[in-house]
Amino acid sequence: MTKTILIPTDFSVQSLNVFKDAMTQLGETKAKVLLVHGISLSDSISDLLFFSKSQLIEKLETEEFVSSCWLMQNRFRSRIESLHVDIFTGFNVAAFNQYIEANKVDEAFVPVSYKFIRRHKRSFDLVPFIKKSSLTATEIQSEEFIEPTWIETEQLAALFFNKSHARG
Amino acid sequence: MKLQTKLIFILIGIFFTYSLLFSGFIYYSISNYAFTDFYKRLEIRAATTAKIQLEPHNEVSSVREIRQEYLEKLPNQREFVIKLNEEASESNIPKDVPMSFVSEIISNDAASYSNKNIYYSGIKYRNSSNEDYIVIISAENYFNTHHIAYLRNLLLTSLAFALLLIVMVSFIFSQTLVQPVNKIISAVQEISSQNLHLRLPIPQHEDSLGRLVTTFNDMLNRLETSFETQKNFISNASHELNTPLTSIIGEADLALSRDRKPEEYRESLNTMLKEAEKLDKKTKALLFLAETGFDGKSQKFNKIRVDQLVLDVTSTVEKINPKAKISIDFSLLPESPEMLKIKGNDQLLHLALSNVILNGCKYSDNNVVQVAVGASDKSVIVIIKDSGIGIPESDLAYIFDPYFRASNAKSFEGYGIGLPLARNIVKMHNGELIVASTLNEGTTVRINLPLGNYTL
Repeated sequence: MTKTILIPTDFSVQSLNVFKDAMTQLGETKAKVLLVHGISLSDSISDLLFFSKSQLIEKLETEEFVSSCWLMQNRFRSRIESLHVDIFTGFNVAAFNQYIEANKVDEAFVPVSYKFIRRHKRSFDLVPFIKKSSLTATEIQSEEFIEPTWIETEQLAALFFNKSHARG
Repeated sequence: MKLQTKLIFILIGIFFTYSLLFSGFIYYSISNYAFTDFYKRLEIRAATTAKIQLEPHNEVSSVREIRQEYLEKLPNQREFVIKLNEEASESNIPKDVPMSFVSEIISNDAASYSNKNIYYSGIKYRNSSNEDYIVIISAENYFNTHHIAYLRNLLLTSLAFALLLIVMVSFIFSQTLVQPVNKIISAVQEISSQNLHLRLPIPQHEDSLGRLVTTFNDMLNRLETSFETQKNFISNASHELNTPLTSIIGEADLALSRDRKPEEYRESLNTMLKEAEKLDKKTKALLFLAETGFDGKSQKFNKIRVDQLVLDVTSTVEKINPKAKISIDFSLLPESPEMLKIKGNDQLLHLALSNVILNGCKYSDNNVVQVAVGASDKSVIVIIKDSGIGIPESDLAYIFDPYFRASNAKSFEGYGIGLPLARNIVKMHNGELIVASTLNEGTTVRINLPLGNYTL
C-alpha cells in the first residue's frame, strides 16, 4: 500500500526529523512524501507577474536541506516512492483542505515541541492548519529537538543525533 | 618576445590586413565602376549627337529637346563627326585621336579609349540616306580626377585612424588576456615550501584559466599533503624512537653508576631488553609503513565501504585510547550498499578519520563522540560530533594551518597536525571537510566523500 504523507517544513534540517520519525512509524508502508512550506504570496503586482514556484522553492532551500532530503531518500529508498518539496500559499483552512484533496494526501505528521522558524518574512506555520483540517494528523513526539538556529553552519548533524541524544 | 607583445603584433597584423583588403577592394571597384559609367555617358552623347547632326532637321527636334534638357554638357566635351567614305583620311581625323582607335570603331561598330584624363567614345552610325559616319565624343572625367582622389584620401585617413584604434584595442585586449595569467604567476611565486597552505584565488568563471587555477590548487594540495605527511611522520617517528632509547640509556647509566648485586643487574638488563624490544617493534612498524607506500609516492585508490571504514577506525581508536567512548549512528545508513562505496586509499582515509575521532575524544575528556554515516545523491557523509571544549570563533579560520593550536587547547598535548592532515587527505579524495564549532559546547566535523559510482 502506498500512502501520501504531508510533512510541514521550514527548510531547516531539524524539521526533517519529523520525516525520519514518520518513516519509522509507517513501518513497511510505502510513502509518497510531500514536504510543504507555508508562505503567503506577495501583494506586489510585479512580484506576482514574475512569480515562479520552482524559483521560490530553490531560493528557500539550503544546500544542507537538499542533501538531507537525499540522505533520507537513500535511507528509505525502497519505501519512498517520491519526494516533493512544495509550498502552500492559501489563507484559510478551506484552501488547505482543497490543497490536501488535490494532492490526495492521506496523512500528516506534525511535530509537537518543534518551534517553527520563519524562513521567509511571509512564511507561516502550517501546523495549526493541519490540526484544523480534515486530515488525520499524527503527532511526532521527539523527546528533544535541538534548538534550531539559522546561524549555525553545520546543520546536517541535527538529522542524526537527536534521537540517540534522547536515548543516551 | 613577451606574450603580450606577440599578441599585440598578431592582432594588429590581422586587423590591419583586413582593413587594407577591405578599403583596397572598395577603391578598386568604385574606380572601375566610374570608368564604365563614364564611357556609357559618352556613348549616349555620341548617339544623340549622331542623330541630331546626321538626320534631317525636322525629325530630330524631340531628340534635341531631350538632350538639351537632360544631358548636361560634360567638362571639356568635344564632338567629332567624320564621314566614312573612300576619302576618309588622316586629314579629317582630329590630331589627338589615334588611328588605331578609329579603325577599332570601324571594325567593332563602337569603341572607347582614354588618354590621360580625356576619355573618348566613338560609334559607327548609318543615317537614313545610307551614309556611314563615325561619331566620337571626348570629355574630361571630372569624377575620376576629383571624386576618386577624394575617396582615396578618405580611405587613407580612415586607414590611419583604424590603425590607431587597432593598436589601442589590441593593447587593451592583450592586457585583459595576459593580466590574469600574470596574477596567477605572481600568486604562485608567493607560495614557497614555508607557506604551502596558501591557495590561488579561484576565479568565478569556469574558463581555461579557472581550470588552470584549480589544477594548480590541486597540485598544491598534493604537495602540501606529502610535505605534511613527511613532517608529521618525522616528528612522530623521532619522538617514538627516542622514548625507548632514553630509557635504555638512563637504565644503563643508573646500573653503571656504582657496583650492584647480580639481581639488580639482571633487573636493569631485563628493563633494557624490554625497551629494546619496543624499539624493534617500532622500527619494524616503520618499515611496514614504508613498504605499504605511505610515503605519498604510490597511493592506490581502491573501492572502500565507508561504514566498514568507520567501524575499523573505531576499533583502532579504542585500541589507541581505551578510555574513548564512541557511539556510532547508522540510523540514516542508505538501504543500498553501493551508496556507501567510494574510491579511496584505505590507509590514508583511516588515518584521517582516526585523527578526527581521536581529536574528538581528546578535547572532550573522553566524553561520548558520535559518529554517523549517511549518503546523499553525490557523496557519502561522515559526521563526527563531540561535546568538548569547542573552537573559539576567532580561531576557526586558522584550524587548517599546520602547527596551529587553538587558544583554549594549550592544556592538551598535540602537534597541531592532525586536522590539516585529515583535510588534505579528504581533499585528495575530492571531498570536503567542514568544521563547525561552538565554544565549550562541542565541535562537529562533516566529511563529504564523493561516491565512487560502483554498481553491485
